[in-house]
Amino acid sequence: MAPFVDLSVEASAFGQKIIYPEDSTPYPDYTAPLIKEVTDYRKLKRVELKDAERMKNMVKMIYLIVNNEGPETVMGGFCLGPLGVLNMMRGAERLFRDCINHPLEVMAALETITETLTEYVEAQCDAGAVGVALDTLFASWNGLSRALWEQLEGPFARELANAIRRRGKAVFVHNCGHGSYFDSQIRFMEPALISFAHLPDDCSDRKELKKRYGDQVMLLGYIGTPLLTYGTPYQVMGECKKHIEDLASGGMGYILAPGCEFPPNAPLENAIAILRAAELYG
Amino acid sequence: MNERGKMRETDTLLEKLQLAVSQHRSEMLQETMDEAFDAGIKLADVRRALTLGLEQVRLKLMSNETSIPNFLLCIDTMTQGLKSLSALKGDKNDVEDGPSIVIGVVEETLMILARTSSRRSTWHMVIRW
Repeated sequence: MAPFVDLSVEASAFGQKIIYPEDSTPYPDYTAPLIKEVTDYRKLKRVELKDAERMKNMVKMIYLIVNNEGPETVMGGFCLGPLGVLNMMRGAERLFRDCINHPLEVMAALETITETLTEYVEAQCDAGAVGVALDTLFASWNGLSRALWEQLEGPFARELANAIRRRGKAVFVHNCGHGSYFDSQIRFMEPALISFAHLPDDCSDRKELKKRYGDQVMLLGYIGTPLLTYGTPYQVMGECKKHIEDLASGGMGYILAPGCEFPPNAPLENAIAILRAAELYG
Repeated sequence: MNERGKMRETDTLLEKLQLAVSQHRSEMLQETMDEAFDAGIKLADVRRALTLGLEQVRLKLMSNETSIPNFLLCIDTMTQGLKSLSALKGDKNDVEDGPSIVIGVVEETLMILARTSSRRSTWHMVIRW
């Protein structure tokens, strides 16, 4: 089981204004970014977990589920990567420019954020999570170039991964970007599992993905969220069957799952379709 | 300078303009635009060169040979060039108004986009010629 989260939990701890719509997940108010100017990057202060209400609630939720569900329930934690958190406080368009024009300022903020996130992932481990998923979305075609990601976020992602491992827990990576840089993420975080929504940048199909990375990490994914939202259960089951055929056997293993999340507005029949497909074809 | 030499100079300057946009080199762009104006190159040709420079980067973005941050900076450089052209448009009436160019940047996380389409999308950088 993975926690019920949105991507604004960490940014809200730093004081980013968040919008809480009734019919969807919370998101930052992009008209009021916390990082307004380049000079604001260095003004960011570390936040302690005791002062971060939503992060504390996340840890509490993990603790409650671990301690109230039976041993068959496996609970994982989740933490948005430092660059993702910064994106929530600066806005993607501005952050993208700053990554090239002001990398040192960006890295100064990433260091502060990583200090906060380190305490956060450690607390999730201590609450009983079997591991913590680090979301490094920017390590993909949707984010930075490979070289820039390795320069900016890679070292901080490694710090977080090491903190999780020091607690004796597993590192998971979640990246729902197109053309995710699997090899870079594996090199920096050495994850046990990668959750993905699209093929990595160096694979042209599922079979190549399994051949290239199947022996290095467990693969988790990647039924498309548009299909889950708009497709029929029959279509979902057909897609699941193809994924199981190509990814399930051999290597470090495979977990059939949505590529990213089960969308909040998708029909639950499609969630049942995934379960049925796993029973039938898995 | 004879006609052939002038054509060669024009081609060189227009290629430099393309390069300046495709490599987001603002200073180079401004210098080359000044040279182009001094050489009497038509504003329409300058605009075409800027557009071609951005088109080169767009194609690279589509084939994942360049990144979104790089593309954004190239847009900035092109915008800078278009603004310089707009300032001159009144003085040199050799170009007609064209359509607006709208370049969109969606301010959302991928995950949210995946499930809500563009419901909360905002659009930026409307460049008007």
